Amino acid sequence: MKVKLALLVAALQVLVLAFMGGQREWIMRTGTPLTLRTAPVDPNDPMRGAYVRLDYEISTVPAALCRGETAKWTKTSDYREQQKLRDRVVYAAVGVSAYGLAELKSLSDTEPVSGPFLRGRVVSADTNGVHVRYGIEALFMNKEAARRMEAMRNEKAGAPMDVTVAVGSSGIAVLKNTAWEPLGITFAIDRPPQRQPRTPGQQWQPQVLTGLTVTLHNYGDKDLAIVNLPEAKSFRLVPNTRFAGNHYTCAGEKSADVPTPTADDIIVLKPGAKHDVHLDLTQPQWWIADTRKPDSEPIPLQKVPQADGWSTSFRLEYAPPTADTVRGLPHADLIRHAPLRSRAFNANQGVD
Amino acid sequence: MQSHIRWLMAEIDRWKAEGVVSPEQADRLRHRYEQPPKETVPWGLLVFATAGAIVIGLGVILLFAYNWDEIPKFGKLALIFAAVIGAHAGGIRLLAREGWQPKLGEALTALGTMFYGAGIWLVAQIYNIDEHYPNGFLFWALGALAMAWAIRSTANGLLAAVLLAIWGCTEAFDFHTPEFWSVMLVAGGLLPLAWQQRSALLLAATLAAIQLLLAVNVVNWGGGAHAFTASLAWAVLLVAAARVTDADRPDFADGAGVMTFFGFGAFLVCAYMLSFHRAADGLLDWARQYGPRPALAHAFSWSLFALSLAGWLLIARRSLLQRAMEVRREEWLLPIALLYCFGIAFLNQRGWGNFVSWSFNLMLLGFAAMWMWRGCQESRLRPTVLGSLLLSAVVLARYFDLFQSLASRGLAFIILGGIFIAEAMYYRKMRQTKGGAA
Repeated sequence: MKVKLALLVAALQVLVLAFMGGQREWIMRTGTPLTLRTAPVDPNDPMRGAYVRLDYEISTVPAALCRGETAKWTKTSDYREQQKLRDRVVYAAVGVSAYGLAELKSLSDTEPVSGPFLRGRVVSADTNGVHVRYGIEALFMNKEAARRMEAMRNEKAGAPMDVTVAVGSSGIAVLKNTAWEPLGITFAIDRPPQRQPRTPGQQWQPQVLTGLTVTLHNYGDKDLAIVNLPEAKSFRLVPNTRFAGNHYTCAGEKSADVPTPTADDIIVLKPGAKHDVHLDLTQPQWWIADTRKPDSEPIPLQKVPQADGWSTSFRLEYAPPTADTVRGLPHADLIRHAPLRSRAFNANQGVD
Repeated sequence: MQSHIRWLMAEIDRWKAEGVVSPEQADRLRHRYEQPPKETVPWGLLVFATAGAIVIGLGVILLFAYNWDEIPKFGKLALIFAAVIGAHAGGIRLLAREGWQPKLGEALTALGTMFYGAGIWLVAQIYNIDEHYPNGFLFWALGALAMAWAIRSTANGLLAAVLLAIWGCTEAFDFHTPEFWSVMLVAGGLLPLAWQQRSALLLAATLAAIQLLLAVNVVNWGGGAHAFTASLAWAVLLVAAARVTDADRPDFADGAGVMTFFGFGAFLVCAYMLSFHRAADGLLDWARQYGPRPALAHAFSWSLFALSLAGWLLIARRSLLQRAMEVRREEWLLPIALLYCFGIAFLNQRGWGNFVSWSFNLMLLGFAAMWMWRGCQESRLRPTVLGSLLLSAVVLARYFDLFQSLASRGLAFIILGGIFIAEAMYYRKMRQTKGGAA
């Protein structure tokens, strides 16, 4: 009897392992493929070794995309209630953009009736939105490979990583492949001349942000083209939704203002080449507005009140024209149309 | 054979050789004290083989954690499946044999369970699974628990106790979701096994896991004060259980010893912490403590309180009314302290912090004095030393927060030293009275 029971338990242990591996293998082979955009960091796990932590764009869900119960979660600011939400199962409905990247459509506590969706768990929820973990945030590899990945992140500064996952019918996602985007975006903040040292008793004043020099890099091994519209109209400011407490949005953005590209606006970047564009953030095109005061006038970033300076966080987005808009222009086939976002920065010149 | 019997047998041989006793008398003495050989568990084999199995398992986990690029994923999976099946098959084969081999078989099944755990993390690594990681420990622990019951295995039970404790702690610390089931699984899944197997080792691991999970969970459910009330009630319940076990189950005297150790250990730690003003203030904020599930924290504290009280009422009936069991005088302080602690917490009077910390100081001093007195009276070193250590701990702790000046601190140390010298003299006197070496 003892032996039979022991055999049964041993068989159950093997079955648990077989189910774990088999389910993932099945999803990997038959699941819906999706490409997600991410940026990696690299910690270490004592049980599973070195891994690269993947932080997906769809992991941060703004309150506007929350549906059902999840919408209610973003309305509470009670810490105890927010703690109770940790690890609750949620479902992220996704669509595929024109550039082949997965885009978040909505987040709900119930399974969507149609379309691909990912099952995740709540990391945190507040009035800005919900931070979700999809179970695909770790890419395990040996230490040397993780180091190479880290080195590559520095070599390809500003280039996001695209991750291909297979998604099963229950929303479980399995990580399949990773690939670096060939186009990267970095920026340098305009630094004013060295300030005089503070005299005793003088209050500290943060440095204000007046301009940026954006650089687009071709990290790939083939030529690619970028579109630099007049007055830097290929770029826009995007509020950093990952940072709770940002109450400002870009007021200068109007889609009708974007001019039609011409052949002169298209710049071909050879492998390893880069192109700089200077943005004067004091111009009205880059002004921002306080969402707490709908009637307030837009202000430039350097006029943001000191109390809001650190939390007023934005990213720069390089948003090239669509394929239809540039059709027929020289080198149009070399243009990458997917938008590209920079690291975040704030009104006090702080960079993430 | 026990060591003192072995010594006596050697002495009888010497007496016979020296002519102190006749050969017939020697035979009669030998017959009187000789014990029939008992079938003993090969503890050395069990302990070292199990430790070896666990260390090998940990090594395999770390080896796979290196993430060998050279081995394809199906190769890694095949390796781990073969390891799980091989270890379990070998272990189960030995279980069916006679003699010492089943113990080696038990160690091999523990190795199989370690490989099973390694398999869980390996599959997670191969498929980049980054879901709720405490679930990995839970599934591993359930595998160990099932194997422990299937073959009545102490080794697998120990593994289950450790893994369930890790599961409960990671849920509470990393996810702020303390699991009610972590305490219940350890208590319900392992206590009966330890009792049935009369395994003091497994009982010790289980009680340690319960104490840890109890404190961690109630703190997360309802705030720090509940850690004191629940742990204190648990401690008093354990000592009651130890006394009943002593009286009714003499075949598990080791278990009673383990319960006494953990019961007194938890009680003294709680009482010692409550002898400080800050912790006492926290206890007085018991009703106002908040956490995500204060009702559950209260439920745990009150259920353990009720069980402890019931246990001590039973002991009181049997020892005071029926005179059927004996309880040491100082142990009656435990239920009194429990009633006092819950009463104070329930009264919810902020501002009594000093009074509460003083009363717990007095309680500890009472224990110390009674242990020292009994130790001297009975000429037993253990209670004497325990009482002295407790007294030193109370006085040394007060060095930091009680006395205002070096003069009062100095006086306290002089009094403590004087008490120790008086204790030494009294101990010597009592030892001489009883005819022992001074």
